[in-house]
Amino acid sequence: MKKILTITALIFSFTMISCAKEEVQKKRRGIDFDALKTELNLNEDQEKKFEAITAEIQKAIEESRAINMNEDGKLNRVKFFTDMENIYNKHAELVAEIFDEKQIDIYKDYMDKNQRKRPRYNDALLEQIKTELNLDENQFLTVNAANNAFETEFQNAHDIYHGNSDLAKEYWEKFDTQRRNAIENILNEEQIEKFRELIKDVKHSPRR
Amino acid sequence: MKLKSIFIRKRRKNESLFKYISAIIHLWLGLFSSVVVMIVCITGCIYAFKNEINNYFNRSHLYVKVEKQALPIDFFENKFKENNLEIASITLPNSPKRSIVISTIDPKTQLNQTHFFNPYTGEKLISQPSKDLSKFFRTIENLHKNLLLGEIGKQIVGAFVIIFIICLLSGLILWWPKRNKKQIKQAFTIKWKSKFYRVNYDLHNTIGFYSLIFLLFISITGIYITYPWIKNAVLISLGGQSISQQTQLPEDGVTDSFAALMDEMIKKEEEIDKNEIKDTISLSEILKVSNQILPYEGTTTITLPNENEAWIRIQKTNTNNWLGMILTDYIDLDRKGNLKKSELFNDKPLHQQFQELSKPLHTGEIMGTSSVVFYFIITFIGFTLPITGFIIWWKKARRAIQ
Repeated sequence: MKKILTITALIFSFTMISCAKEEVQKKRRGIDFDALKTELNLNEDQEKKFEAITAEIQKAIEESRAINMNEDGKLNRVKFFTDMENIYNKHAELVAEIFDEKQIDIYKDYMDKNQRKRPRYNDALLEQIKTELNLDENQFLTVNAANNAFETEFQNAHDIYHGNSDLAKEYWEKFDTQRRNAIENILNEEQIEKFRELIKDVKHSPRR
Repeated sequence: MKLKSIFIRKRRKNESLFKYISAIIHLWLGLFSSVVVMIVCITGCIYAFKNEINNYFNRSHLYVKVEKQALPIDFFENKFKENNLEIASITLPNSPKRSIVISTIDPKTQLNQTHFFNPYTGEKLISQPSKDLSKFFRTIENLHKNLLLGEIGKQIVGAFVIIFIICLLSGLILWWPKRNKKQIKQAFTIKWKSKFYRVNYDLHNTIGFYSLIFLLFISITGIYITYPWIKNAVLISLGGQSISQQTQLPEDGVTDSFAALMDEMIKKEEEIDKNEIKDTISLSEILKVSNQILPYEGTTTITLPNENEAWIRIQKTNTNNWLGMILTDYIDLDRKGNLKKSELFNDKPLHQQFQELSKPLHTGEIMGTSSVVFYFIITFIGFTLPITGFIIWWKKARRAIQ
């Protein structure tokens, strides 16, 4: 009996430990900059500067998390994600000064795949919508308002869909439908067609 | 035969079938779930103190010596103005032992910078390099949520917590004393002066009973997060809608709440264009308005407007309730100090209140350190129940084997 229990405990522990190491690495909070460094193939000087810049960025992100966390443990996600976007934009600016063109491309590609983005039309897409649809100031105001309302609603619903990717997608689509409807209500038919073409690739991207 | 008697004891004389089956279920499910339940409980115990432990290692800039009179808020506003720095937000703690936290945007890097100040002397507190325990607590958190096994682990933990709930309820049936003085006394007390096995039995039976309702509550709030159907059941029972219900959209394709949010965004945009940032009222005036609208003591965070945000956002923690729970109220003011919007916790419907509190209700942060300590004791009891239960069973099993 003792032997059976001992062997069972050992097998269980071994299974846990072997799965655990991989899982802890997968569940690291934030971007895996060590993996990025490997892809970039940095020289000694670049590596030193990159580490210094990244350490400052990571500190800024943790500070932003602390500032935006209430005493009751609730995070202001809209503000935090906005801060993160600004911080990563700054990171991109700073690393561009130490990388060559090829490294910048690798960096941009990696960050595009791994960075948690604000769940809204980004500034580049907004500018494209404004220009290609030839929107006046009032129309663009409505587009921005719909986009910001979408972001706020989706982030505020986080407590409901937290930990459930299917439900997160459902909520994303629910608010996205309203965002599109609110914008299309102020557009003519030609603008609606162009708008739908511009946003056709905007989809819910589940957290990795 | 011996093996069978270890796991399926004989039904006692005068023992009801219901109680007998409860005993078998309690034993089997208890043994089966013991390891996972112990891991979940002990990691919960440790994680409960995350904030307190982090605060301890950062105490040099988080805590100050209490003195007679705190400096007015204008002192800090002027200090930053003299250095040509704009305050982005300021947190005024309710506790007299805590430092003031001010965040600014560095003009060179455009990144957030956090500064800590002594509220009595105005001295800037330098944050010492502290132990980075984030990796440790992240591991503990993941062990607690999913045994470090990802999505599969999350389902395993959820299933075992449901099993634990069944054990708690079957344990209550087993605990239920007969209607005589001796049994009732035994059910509610621990005979400390007795032998080891009797004390162990009382620790399982009696302490299990006293902690039952709290362990049930912590377990249910935990699986509320894991299973959408439980979340649904809880929110609907509190007057909310099904979480996966697709809202019927009106003719224009936009719900009232979405439209209201859009109106708010448009108003804010228009105010950004009209007003200059320098027209914003002073921090002391903001605090005065805030205290008039939210007339209670509480930690206050003021986020000032900027080029992208027209309104002043104030959040204040309200502990004016019979349990002293930390509830957060929010108000938005325009730059002249006029109230634009208020979100008071007590005005929210019950299901929304629960939604907002579900995490602190599960972690014990709901009332600050006092509730964290209480939750620690309860979850530690949860950790010991499989151990004391195993000892009760092992004593009988060993006897049967011999």
